[in-house]
Amino acid sequence: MLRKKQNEIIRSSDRLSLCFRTFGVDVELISNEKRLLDDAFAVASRSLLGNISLAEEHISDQRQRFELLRTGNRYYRVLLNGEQISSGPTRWKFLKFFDGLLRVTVGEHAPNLVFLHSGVVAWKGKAILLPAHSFDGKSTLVTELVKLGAVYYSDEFAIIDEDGNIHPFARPINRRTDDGRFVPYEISLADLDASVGEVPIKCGVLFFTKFVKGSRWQPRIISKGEALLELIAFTLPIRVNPEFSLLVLNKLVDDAILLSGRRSEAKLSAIRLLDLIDKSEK
Amino acid sequence: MNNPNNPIARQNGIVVQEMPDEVLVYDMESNKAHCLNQSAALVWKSCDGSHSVADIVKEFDKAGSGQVSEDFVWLAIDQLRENGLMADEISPKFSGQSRRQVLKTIGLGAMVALPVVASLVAPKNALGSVSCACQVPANCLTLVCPSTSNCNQNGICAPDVPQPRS
Repeated sequence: MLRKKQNEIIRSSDRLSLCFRTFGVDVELISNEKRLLDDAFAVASRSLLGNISLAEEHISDQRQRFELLRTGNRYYRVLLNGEQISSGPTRWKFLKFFDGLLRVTVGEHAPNLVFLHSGVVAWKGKAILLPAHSFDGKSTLVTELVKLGAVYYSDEFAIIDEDGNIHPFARPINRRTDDGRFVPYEISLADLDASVGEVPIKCGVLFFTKFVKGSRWQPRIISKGEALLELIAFTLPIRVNPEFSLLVLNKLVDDAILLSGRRSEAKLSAIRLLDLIDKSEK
Repeated sequence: MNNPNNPIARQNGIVVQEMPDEVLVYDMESNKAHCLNQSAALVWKSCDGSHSVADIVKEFDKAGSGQVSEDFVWLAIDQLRENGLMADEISPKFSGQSRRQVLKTIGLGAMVALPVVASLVAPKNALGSVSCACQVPANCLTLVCPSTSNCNQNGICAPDVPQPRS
């Protein structure tokens, strides 16, 4: 009975909504199906590692409005601030898409923070940042670094504050099978016996790298200007707030070792990277 | 005092981050970032309307950056203009040569690094570059995922691969 009621589509005039604040961003979820709204909120909670505080009423006019709608023919639509972003027939794909969209939207609009698409681990008290696009092997390298004793911070975002400190965002590590099917799976931090970062840290090394089979290990030192330019592609709020983003990125790269180069097998690359850092400190 | 014939760098609609030897300029209108190397940065900073090209040549000397020619400065201005970093449309006045010839001539004898402006457009579709998650193929119009036209059975912008038989 309850299930039937939850699946019932509500008239557009009676849409349900809930509001929350996360990383300083006000978010409103609106739906025409009770169960869809509940599922979306569960996704949001998990997606943002519980950094959510519910609000009774709409918090600000600047909120990000997600409309998650089920139409009569079991079609799912997501609108962001009134603009349709996507629609499709598969519920789990819809929720998965919303999961990514929510994190990206929060990353674009979080005040006083810059979200950088990057893996992050700590080695000897300083962060190693690995900015990379999806499918460039970022999570694989992060996993290998953690296995070698690096402290896990994030495999998706470096969250940087206005002083250039990097905060942990330790979601389970997301991997995909390498059989061509790209089936996603998670590696729990417990399985890796990983130490997880708890305090904000400075950047020690920024390494732009991607997996290229058979490539030689020849990282080169790049200038601050080159690093800043490269970082633009991975900086979520760059179009929304370029002034603040560049100020923070400039602080991030200050005093960091800036490297660029292809890598081959992840385990060997992780060993070489840590070795290179250790030698540079001597 | 400003002279209307002197080059003027653009100041509006941009964000500037200065570094010791370089300058990063972000164009808020085109959402393009430009990294100016030391030579290009020195020319750009000197294009304030009060310096002629001949004055900018002297600025290199004053800054201890070495000796350059007017063609060298024009080469920088030409690149800055092409990237929308000059306030006015200004035509390069190379001394009777094409830009290609000038580049060749300067490049051969240059003691100073040639002016370089490297550029990159900020990604429009942040979701695409972050997750490659999709609901339908239309979500895959991004160049960083394995497919730009297919949303596979796992909700990823990637080709479909036949499932193995059980």
